[in-house]
Amino acid sequence: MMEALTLLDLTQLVRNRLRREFPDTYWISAEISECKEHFSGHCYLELVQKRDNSEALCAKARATIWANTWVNLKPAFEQQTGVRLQAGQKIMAEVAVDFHELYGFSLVIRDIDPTYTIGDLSLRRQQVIRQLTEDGVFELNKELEWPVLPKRIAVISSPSAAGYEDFMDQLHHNELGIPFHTDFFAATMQGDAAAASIIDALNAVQASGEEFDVVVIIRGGGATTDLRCFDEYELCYYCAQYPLPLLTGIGHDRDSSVLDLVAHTSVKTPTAAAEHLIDCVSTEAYRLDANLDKLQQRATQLLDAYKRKLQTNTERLRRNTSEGIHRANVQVERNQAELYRRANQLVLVRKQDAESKATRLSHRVQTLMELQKHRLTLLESRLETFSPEIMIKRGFSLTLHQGKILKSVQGLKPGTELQTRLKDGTIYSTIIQTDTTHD
Amino acid sequence: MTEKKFSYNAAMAEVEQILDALSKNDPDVDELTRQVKRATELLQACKQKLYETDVEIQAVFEEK
Repeated sequence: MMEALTLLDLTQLVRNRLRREFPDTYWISAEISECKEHFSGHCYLELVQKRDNSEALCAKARATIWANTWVNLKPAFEQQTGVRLQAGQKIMAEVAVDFHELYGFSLVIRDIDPTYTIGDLSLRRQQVIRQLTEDGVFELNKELEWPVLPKRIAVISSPSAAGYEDFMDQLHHNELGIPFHTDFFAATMQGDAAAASIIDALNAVQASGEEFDVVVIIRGGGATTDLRCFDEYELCYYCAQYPLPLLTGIGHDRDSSVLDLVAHTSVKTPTAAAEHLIDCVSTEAYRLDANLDKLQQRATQLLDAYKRKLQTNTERLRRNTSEGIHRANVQVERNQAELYRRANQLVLVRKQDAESKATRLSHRVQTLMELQKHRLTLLESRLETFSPEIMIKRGFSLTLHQGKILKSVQGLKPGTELQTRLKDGTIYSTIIQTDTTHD
Repeated sequence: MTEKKFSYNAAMAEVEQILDALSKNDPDVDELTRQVKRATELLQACKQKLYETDVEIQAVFEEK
């Protein structure tokens, strides 16, 4: 009868053989499918390898990082990669092959090269970015118009995060006293649940019915080792298409997360996010002030210009008026002169007329007077012929008989007494003889 | 003169009347003398009137 080996014998055999055959350590690349930190300080992982371009596994192995290794490895890894060691990560690790009678085949991880993981993360990040770009959503949130005055703010954060406190403090106690309205929407800001939680919060912002100018996503505080969630395609795809501009202040020192890249604006920290909002409003306020100044200046300028123009016009008006008055005066004077001339002319005509009439009158009067004088003279001379005195003065004499003037010899007889009147006396005579004829 | 207001025309008419009368009638010397004297006076008055009129007219013309 063959003596059978006990299970232990065999497994010890395998272990011893393995230890002999694999005395060295090996650098392997693998993907972490599970990762658990034990309270004892050890870290237990499951490493897998998938077939090219498929999810199907082609190799799998348990791996252990002993506490004494892990205590140094963990911070070094996290510091350099910015992420914790976790499922889904690809790592390059220095491993020793081990076999345990009870637990079977496993690998003992002695070291991990973080640059490999960084490269892998970066690669995956690039893939996400490429995908978002191909989807045509990468720039969408950036293309939204950033509000001129971002004052109504939805804040998505973890309520316990120190970053949230910093943000609120900075925002509400700004030096300029600018009032901001903030509504808080709680979300898990790290780990696997973060992406879905942030999406839920964004939905809640939408569903709140409030009108917000911007949505601020801040993480702040705590370990900076778990930012991978902000690179997740689903979250970034959702955020990129979000209808309000996003401001991220996730708080990291290395490369921006993909969420930062798709967000409208991203700053390093929650405090910086608050400062950015304050800057936006104050810049606008200063701009308004400046514009107000400009407006005032311009108004003053215009007013001055109008004043000058008014003055000019007033002067012109005055000048024109005085010119007009002057012209009118000249006209009046001219008219006066004309009137005077015409009047003089008329007066002259009348005067001439009057004078000619006067002359005629004068002539007529003179003629009439002459006529009268002539008549008078005529009457005088006629009268003279009847005047005995005048006749006597001329040398004629009057012979009277019994007081009557003798005009004939008829009836006179010699011896009749006669009186003959002369200029200076009377002759008394007696008729001697009469004769009817003169000699 | 008995007339209150002197009338040139009346005076002249009277003179002519006297002249006419003297031409037709045959007055005695005293009457003749009286008539001539009367007519002469009238003529003198008419002369005076004419003179005054002349002066007045000249004065009127010169007022202008």
